[in-house]
Amino acid sequence: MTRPRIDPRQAREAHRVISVGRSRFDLAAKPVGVSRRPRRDPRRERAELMVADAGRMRLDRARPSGMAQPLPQREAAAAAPSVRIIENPVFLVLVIADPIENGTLSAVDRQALGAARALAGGEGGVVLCAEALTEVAGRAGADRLITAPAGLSDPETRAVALEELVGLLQPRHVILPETADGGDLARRLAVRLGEPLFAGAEQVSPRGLVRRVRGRQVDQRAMPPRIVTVEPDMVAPHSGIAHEARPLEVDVRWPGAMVTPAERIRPDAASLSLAEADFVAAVGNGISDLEAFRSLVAALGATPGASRMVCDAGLMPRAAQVGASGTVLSADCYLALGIAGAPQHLQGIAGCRHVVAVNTDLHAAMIERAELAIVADAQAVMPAILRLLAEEERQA
Amino acid sequence: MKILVPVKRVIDYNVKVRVKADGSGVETANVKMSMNPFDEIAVEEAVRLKEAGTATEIVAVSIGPAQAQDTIRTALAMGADRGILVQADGPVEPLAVAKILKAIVEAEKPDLVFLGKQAIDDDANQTGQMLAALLGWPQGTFAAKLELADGSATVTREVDGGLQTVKLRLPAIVTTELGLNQPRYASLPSIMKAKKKPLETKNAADLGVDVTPRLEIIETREPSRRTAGVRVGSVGELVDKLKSEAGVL
Repeated sequence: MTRPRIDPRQAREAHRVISVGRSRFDLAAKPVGVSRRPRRDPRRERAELMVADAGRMRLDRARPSGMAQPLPQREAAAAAPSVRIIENPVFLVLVIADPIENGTLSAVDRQALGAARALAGGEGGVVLCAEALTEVAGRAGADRLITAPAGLSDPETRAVALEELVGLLQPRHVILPETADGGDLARRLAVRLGEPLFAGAEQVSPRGLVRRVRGRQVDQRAMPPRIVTVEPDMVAPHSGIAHEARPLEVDVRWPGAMVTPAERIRPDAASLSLAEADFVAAVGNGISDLEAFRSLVAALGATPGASRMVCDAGLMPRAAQVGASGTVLSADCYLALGIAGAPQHLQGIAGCRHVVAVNTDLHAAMIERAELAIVADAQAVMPAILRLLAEEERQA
Repeated sequence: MKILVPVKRVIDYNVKVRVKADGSGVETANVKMSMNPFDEIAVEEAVRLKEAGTATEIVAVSIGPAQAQDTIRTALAMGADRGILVQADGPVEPLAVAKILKAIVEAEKPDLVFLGKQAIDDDANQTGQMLAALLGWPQGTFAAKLELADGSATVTREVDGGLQTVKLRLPAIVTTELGLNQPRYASLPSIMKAKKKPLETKNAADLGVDVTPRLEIIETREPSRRTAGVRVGSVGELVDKLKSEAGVL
């Protein structure tokens, strides 16, 4: 890549012998002057930019060349310590996760684990009691994992079993998320154990917990009691090295489910505000058939969004605009149909966990941002998705 | 049908609370006190049931200092029939409140207990659920709609991202959400009448409940305000600050 670049005209000039009449060149003369521009080796540059296992190039739009700085890829992955093991924890912090909905730990459960990690420090062990054995538990900061049977959702029966669990483990703290399920369970557990409950902690550290009272006008600080609930979206989840999440066998009689949830009416996705929606499908300039888009959104159960172009054209309401001048999303999944991905738009979806893009242009910024991309005309993809959904429904 | 409505005396929601200088709590001297707004909704719902002929008697209970009588009188003026004041000085924690209420429920044997979902002073949102757990009664928390049928109550609850309808067997606990109703203002004649309604005073110790706080609040303070940023003169200074002060580099 740094081999000096040769300018042929200059090289030829350097060999010129001063003479009268016809030009004469002495090719045996000493080598030519070196140009300042380094010579590029495109093959090597390309090899360095390949993403290790994905088989594609990493592009960087912030650089004028479009080329990213080469990353030390495999070496970094090998050097990172894989798992932190706490063999003999000095004390335990028990985290009780909510009944699992999507086969994984919810964001609030991760935050509760983050709070538990903060209270456990380097010596304490965090025990997670969750419904399904999840490999994400270790990454979320759990040292031990207790598997509770699935389908236990009513707090009354759960509280009975958890009282027994607390009696067995004798944890220093019990942390629950302040949600409909977790909050209710915490109150019942507090009654059964006869201990006070610190509800809705917003700042968590071993030196004290802080909660907001009197309509969020006053902060109240207390030493961490035994039972604590953590307010959603206030405590950061664990982001450091993964812990081992070793399965822990405990002898607890889990009662049979007395109440089984019968029906849960989800809010109409189309009426949710964009900032609260979990799944957003957005339409861009690449789409002209908005009727198909609306039926797709209804079929997917997504909340409709739009790019600035579409809103400016008056095809979608201004409230649907995603991006810096519209709504900044906190959705779990974002489906971009015919959106190229202006920087202002990408700002609006920075927090989305999964992005799926449909675009004809392989080099669109949105395709680069997306984890899953369909390089095709979104106009044609929409009826295809609708057809597949209808087929799936017919089979079910 | 008998309905028990616990009410709490709190600083009026219009008052801007001031934190005591020593951080031991908030200033309550010479501050307007009134009934917790969520409890007003609970009283209103009970009164509406009585007006509809479903309920026969409404008992308002308050736990707190002697001045909590005024709060009970407000409930009486709104339409409650009699009041019980359980005297306890100083802050009483939700678990102790739930235990006191359990003793009262066992004495009064109501068919329904209406509570506000939370008090606006400590925003704990615990008492209703704890009372339900202590009594082993069904609970309908955050009720946005309530319908009573023969021996059961249908409660529509506001939960995260939607509504949930639950059916409760009576006796049951219901905690009220804002949308349930619009509480009435007590008229002057009813305020005068409320002064003659019976009000019984009890003591927490007589009910066998220890009200000493178990959760020690170390400090009460105003939330930290966002302070203005620092303007740096050059890139070098910025890098220096990032290294030495922020510690991110």
